[in-house]
Amino acid sequence: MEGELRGGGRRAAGPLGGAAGTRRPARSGRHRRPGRRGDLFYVLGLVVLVPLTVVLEYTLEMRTVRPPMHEAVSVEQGAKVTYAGAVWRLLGARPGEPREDARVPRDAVVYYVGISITPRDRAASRRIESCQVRVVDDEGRTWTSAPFGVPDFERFGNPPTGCYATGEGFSREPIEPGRTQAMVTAFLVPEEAVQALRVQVLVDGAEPRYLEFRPRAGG
Amino acid sequence: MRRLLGILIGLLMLLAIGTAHRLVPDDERRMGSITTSGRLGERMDTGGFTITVEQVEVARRLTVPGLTSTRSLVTEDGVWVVVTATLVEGWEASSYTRTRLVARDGTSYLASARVPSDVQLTSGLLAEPGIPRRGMVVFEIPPDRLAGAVLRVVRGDVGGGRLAPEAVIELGIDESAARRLLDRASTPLELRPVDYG
Repeated sequence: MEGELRGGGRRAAGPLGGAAGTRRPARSGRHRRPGRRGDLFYVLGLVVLVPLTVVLEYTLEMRTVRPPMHEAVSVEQGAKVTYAGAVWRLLGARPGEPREDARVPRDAVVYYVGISITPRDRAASRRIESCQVRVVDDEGRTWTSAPFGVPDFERFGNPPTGCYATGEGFSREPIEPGRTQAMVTAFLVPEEAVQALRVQVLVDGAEPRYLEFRPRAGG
Repeated sequence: MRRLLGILIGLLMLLAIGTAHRLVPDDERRMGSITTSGRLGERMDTGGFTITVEQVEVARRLTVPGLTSTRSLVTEDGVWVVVTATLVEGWEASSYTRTRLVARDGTSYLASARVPSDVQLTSGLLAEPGIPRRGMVVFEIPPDRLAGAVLRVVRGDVGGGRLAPEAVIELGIDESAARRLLDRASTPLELRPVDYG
């Protein structure tokens, strides 16, 4: 023990006195700073990893975002078109007769739209079941289905009002694949808008395409 | 000297970052609603919808006609402010559930949930483009918040409606008008369901 203390004393007795005792040992070759080659790896790592992170983040983000419906497939009344795995045809679109027994506002009409749908397979039947039908005019004004009680569907024999078939009672089920099903829906629109109306059909998962039927004058 | 210079540059950079951060417009400035101002009786076109506020009434008791009977809604410490208006949607079916009455001190009141939704012009029912809807917007507020109150009608639901059109309507309730309205508040008001205008 004493020898060890003396040993320390011998280091302190060097030519530089006490300062010599605090001098750090010389660095071995393993602890040298990385050379240019090492720096190059760091830079290359950054150059590769940063864009990779950006691309990965963008890709993951885009998977959760659906593109908007912005690609209209224009169809004339009576013509058939395939969309979302089904064949569609506009049967007619026109305003109904004035009704005394419903609350239809002044200067407004109930606009009826009939469409025939033939899904190709079971997947398409299920896919189109929740389709959205709406009407738009040249100003971009958009109308969705008329409030309950305003349209009179009895005059059409109470057909389905959406892209589905009616089962027993009030139940709804997918249209049988290969079977052509007619649907009728209605909109409450201002009378002045009727001449410019177009009928749009949108199906989830078919983005960015949607159907746009151009009704013939007089429906 | 070099060390001092380094610290100085660092501080300047921090200051620059802080300043740049403050200059970035907040969500309200970037995505807030686009307002149009007007007053009672005026037909206001916000670019997204038009609205005409026709009347403002105040009561302590409301009567709500039902299918079989009429019921009363009473407020103890506050008053009912009933705004009658006609609203015409511009583009597409929308709701207006963010509509509020803003008091002079900035306190906001949403339309009362105690009132049935078929009565409230701005809740529940959707407005279809080009088809006027006439109805009432009913608020329950403390009487001392009536003077100077402003109606703000904005399209969209709570939490939505970026860059939504908004009408800011001066109801013309100064101190004396507020006193007059409160003096007549003991007369019950009958609510009517929203109808086509």
